[in-house]
Amino acid sequence: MTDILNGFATVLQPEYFLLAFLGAVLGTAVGVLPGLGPAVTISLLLPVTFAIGDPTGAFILFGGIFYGGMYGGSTTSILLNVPGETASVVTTIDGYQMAKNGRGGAALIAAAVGSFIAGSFATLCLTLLARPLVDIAIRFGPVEYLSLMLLALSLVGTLGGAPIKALAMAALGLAFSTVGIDFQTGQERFTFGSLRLGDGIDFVIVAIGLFAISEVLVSWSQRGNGAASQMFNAGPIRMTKAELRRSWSPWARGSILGFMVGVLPGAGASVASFLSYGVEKLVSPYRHLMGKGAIEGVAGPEAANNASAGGAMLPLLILGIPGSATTAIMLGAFQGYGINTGPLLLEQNGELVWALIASLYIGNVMLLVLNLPLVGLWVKLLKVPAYLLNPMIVAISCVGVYSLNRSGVDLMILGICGVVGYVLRRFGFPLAPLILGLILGSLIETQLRRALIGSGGDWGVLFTSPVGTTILILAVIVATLPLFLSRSAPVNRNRKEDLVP
Amino acid sequence: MTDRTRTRLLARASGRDAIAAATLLFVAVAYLILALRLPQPVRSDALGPASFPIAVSIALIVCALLLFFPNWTSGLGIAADPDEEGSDIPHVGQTREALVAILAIATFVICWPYVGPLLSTAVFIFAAATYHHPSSWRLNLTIGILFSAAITALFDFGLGISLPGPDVSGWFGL
Repeated sequence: MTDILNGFATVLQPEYFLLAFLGAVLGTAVGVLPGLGPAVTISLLLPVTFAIGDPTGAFILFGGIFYGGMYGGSTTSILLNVPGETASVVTTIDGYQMAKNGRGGAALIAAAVGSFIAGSFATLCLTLLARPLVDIAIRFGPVEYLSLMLLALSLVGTLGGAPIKALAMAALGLAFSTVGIDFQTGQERFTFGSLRLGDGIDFVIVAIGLFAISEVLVSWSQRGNGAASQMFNAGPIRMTKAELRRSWSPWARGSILGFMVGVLPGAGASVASFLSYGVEKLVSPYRHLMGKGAIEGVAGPEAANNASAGGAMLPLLILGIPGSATTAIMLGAFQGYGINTGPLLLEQNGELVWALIASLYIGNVMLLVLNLPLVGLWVKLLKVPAYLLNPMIVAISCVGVYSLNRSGVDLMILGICGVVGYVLRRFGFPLAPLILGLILGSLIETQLRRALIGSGGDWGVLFTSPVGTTILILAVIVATLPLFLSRSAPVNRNRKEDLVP
Repeated sequence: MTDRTRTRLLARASGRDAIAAATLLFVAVAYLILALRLPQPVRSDALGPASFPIAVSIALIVCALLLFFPNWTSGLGIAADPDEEGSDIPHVGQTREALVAILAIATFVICWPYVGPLLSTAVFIFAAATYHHPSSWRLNLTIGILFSAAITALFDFGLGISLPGPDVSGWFGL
């Protein structure tokens, strides 16, 4: 208790408080920009912070950027169908539908409040449960990870559209994930001689192309049908009582699930948000409305991706294991300052760690205070005429994608993905399962091959772990449940008052 | 929805699914052939680099076949629902406009690394907006210039990301 209070005392010093605020603002701003996430921002700021030479200040700044990025990522997902980062891809499904239904403001508030609740919950868990949770996490071997990834993949049927089309898209995503150099053997696969493709297909680029560029193409093409050139109404900037009541459970479920997934190194915020969406689709009383603009589809995933950010700090601080791209760069920053992460970090640099944790509490409050008034400003985006907004979306997507690798090939991939996304939408294929397959593909293959290397090629190893087998059984149940649920769908499944309370 | 409309949408949706299934089958078979051609390294694990892609290609082929023959899946409740999807069928005018949009975006994306974001963004926003609203060309030009300047300033100066200028050497990094 004394440790965390000392941490608060450190962060409340004016210079650190200002850095926490700066991190929150920067994180939110870059989270809104497609392509740029907290990992890129922190790596860009590393030389600046090294020049300052104060590790405590640097990590307080990084913590604000990490959480802020998760807050900001949802904004364009909801309003423009442009995911700010991959963890927000799933938010586009119901968030964008809510914006179309005139509930964009409510969706943004649900995302901001959910992020605050989840971020605070994750930081509390970080404070209280650090050691026991990490002990559990490090027992996860390749078999358990593989089972977890298969569980995430089994959710494709819940992501909208006809399940057979969702399955086809997930398989296509898995196929895309195999492009690049094979991690075990160094063998090039499907690169067609391109050095850039040797690094694989970046799912951020695919997500922006499939969602943002295809959305522009859909909007532009509707002009030919005499469609209006205006975007839809923003609607009132508040949540109704019904929306608030419906959001509490998804916020709670998303927070717990997101934190648990975040603690597992390598799982990441994207897996957490997809899992949360799947859980809501299975357990929510309003699951029949999901995909049509249900607030549960925003509240759950947005809470999950923020909680996973807090969870990812655990293995970083306690074991020195980065659980995500952002924490990997933060690990590099620790090493740059000559600080050894791992079990001794708390003993040797306790002041820094507790100041960082305290800054996460304060940063969360700052982000809520900062983001709620901004909702009114963001929804004004919906009032920009489509004929102006569409080329702006394309332009900002291009700059965002180029900034990832400074490569013109990435822009080509962006354009191709946009056209593919447009065609797929026209043929009634859901896009989110493709992203899920792309994210999970390399993880599934890696863990499967690691498991088989460990067992000398014996496939029976996949059923030797009680935890892994339990998760596998759960995956089978989750995969088949939508078939039964679709047969028992409620009669009043398209009630307008549930969509626009 | 009337029975007649539903029947018409069903027919169009199944026609679209057949085209999609044929395309998916073509992609899956091509992917399978490429996967089968992957050389097996001398030192490799039990699965090797080809096994996972082969398994994925088989899954793709199965999905394509299930899409091709919806009767196989109708009993399982995983087939497409025309009530939900029929309204998304594009009209001829929409397809023409989509082709114009694809052409415009492709030109922008190809020119972007060569010309740089400042000029290409301003021209693209002006051209695309004026195509839809020719009467407000002055406003479109102003917004194009201001937006491209703001974006370039934000990324280049604000975030320190070096954006390409009008120099053609080595931007594609191939």
